[in-house]
Amino acid sequence: MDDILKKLKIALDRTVPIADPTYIIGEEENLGKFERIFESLDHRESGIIGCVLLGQIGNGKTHFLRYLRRFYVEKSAIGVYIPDMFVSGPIVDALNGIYKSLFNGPGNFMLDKYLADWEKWKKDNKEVEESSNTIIRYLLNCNNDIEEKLVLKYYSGVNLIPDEFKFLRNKFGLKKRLIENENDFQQITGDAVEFIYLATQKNILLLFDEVDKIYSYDSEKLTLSRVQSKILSAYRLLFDMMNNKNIKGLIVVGATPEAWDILSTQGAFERRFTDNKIILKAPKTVNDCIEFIKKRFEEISLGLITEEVGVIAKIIGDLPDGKRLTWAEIMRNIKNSNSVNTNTNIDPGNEILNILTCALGPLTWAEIVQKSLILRNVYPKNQPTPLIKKLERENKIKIIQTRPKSYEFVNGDIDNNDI
Amino acid sequence: MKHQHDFYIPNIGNIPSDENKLKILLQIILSGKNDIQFTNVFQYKNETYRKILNHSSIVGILDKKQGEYILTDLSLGLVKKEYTFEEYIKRLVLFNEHIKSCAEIIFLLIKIFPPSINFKTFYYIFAYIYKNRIDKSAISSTGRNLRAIFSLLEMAGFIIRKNGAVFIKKDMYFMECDSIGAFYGKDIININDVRQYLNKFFSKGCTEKILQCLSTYEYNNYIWNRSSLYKNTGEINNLYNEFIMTLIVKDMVKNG
Repeated sequence: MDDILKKLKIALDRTVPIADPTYIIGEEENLGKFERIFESLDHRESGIIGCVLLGQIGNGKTHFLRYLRRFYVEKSAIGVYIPDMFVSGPIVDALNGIYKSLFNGPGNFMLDKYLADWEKWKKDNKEVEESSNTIIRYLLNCNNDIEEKLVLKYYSGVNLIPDEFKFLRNKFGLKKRLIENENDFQQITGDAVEFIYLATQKNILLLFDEVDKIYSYDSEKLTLSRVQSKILSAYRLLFDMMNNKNIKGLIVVGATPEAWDILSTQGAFERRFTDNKIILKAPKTVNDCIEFIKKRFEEISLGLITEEVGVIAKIIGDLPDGKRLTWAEIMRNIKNSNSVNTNTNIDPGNEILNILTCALGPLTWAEIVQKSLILRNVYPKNQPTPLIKKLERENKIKIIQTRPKSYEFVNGDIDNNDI
Repeated sequence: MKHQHDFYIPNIGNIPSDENKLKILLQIILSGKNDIQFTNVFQYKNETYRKILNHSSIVGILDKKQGEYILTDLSLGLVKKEYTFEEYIKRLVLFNEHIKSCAEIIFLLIKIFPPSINFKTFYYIFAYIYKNRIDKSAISSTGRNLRAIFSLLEMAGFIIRKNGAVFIKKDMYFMECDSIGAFYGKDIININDVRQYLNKFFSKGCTEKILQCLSTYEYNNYIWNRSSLYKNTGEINNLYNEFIMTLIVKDMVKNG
């Protein structure tokens, strides 16, 4: 029994996904909803659709977003996961940080990954000589693939060695810092996303996470700070630009309802998402929990035998519905549960008899209850008269009419005639 | 506006729980037959039967005159078929100020948080507000008496009980009010807004306790989201000692 609890503690130790997850529990309905939103892209010439994924902390937003990326990569989409939608710090640093995370965020790739796709696109589009897209314009002006790779590395936010950077500065006039203001952010990010879209011809999935950072820990009110307001308008301009550039894709924002409440105060931003809300399932069912634990055990290559599954099912079943709202909560409650025992099956009648058996003389109810925490919990106010009367009828105890009444154990084995 | 005293539930836990049992009781009292007959019919003990009679007289089904139980005029009217059973129960509810008050609260809460509210949530709300206790014994006695009121309302066809929750079947027209989602026209509502709306119908103290109970036990149709960050900006402290900041109305999201 304790063995299974130890194993559970190990299996549930991880909190965030290491790689894009291969499974998701209990969200079939929401996946279906997302699929319908994604499929609606096919019915449009171009354009970006917004979708917001809501759930309180620990409900599985990060898991859902990263699962979407893995799942839709197989269905021909390019997924870019931005782990932090609202990086803190001064505005320019924040915007640069966000841009770089498009390429160095978990599971993201640098732009040079698409070099082969780009070469193919160039072959198929020989007539293109100019482009409004800065990245493409520079690429078209490169003499060889080494130069192209350098341009793509620069635009992936990589720190280039001085020689490399010198070359780019000389040929294209590029600056050391990629983004100097909101305009740069909107333009360069738009160009980067368009480049990926054109080169791969696949729908783009931008997955934004950690929208909790919308409010700072210091401010008194739950409102956007100046920097965050600026970041938000930068995003709005970016989304508009992507629409104008004929990029097809979905922007999915993972937010807590609290954070979304604040974001929705910015009507111009919110209205792009308002028709496509996905709410993560809460509470999780008992079956969901069992499946979840099985998957976690698989992750650490531990098998489960039937009896152990039964023990786990009992632990989960003992959790009331209200304590199964989020995965974080479920994991915490399971880890904290002591060994499964029969505490819940204590018979108060037996408990009373046990106490009276060990007593030297009759006890009042107050004295009985003092000796037992279980009885105190079951009967917080008055004594259970029906139970006591039942014990008396069964000749197990004797009620003595003192004030207050006291109770004495009746030993049925003693033959009174022997005295 | 409802205050603490409006949440008082009279001790009526042993009234007949359905139309059949009620009509049999009326017949037995009317005919002046022996107690034992009723006891035999339903296998009740004498003490329980005494409670049935006592509680029925509190509700207005029976009257006690000179130590004897007789039918009230209202019950006589039912026997004489002056009105339907449904009409009879409706009058029982409306003529008793405490039962009427409880019924108003039940309807109000289900209308504000449709489509249903769990039994458990109701037990906690009434016990917490009136008795200021939520230990097992308080919940147990409140539940017993509240179930009697549910039985009355169900007998009259106003509510149905299903899957551990109470649904409104037919309005009693106590008060018109919008559901919380309809009032704000959105599915994600800040808890301060929820509080503000409830304060139109309940006193501040009552609202707070109602919210504490709802946010702990109402998870079928609503998600009460915990605050990522406690900032003392009006969060509810639910009965698990968690801080709740936002409410999501599940149904609206499904349909919208």
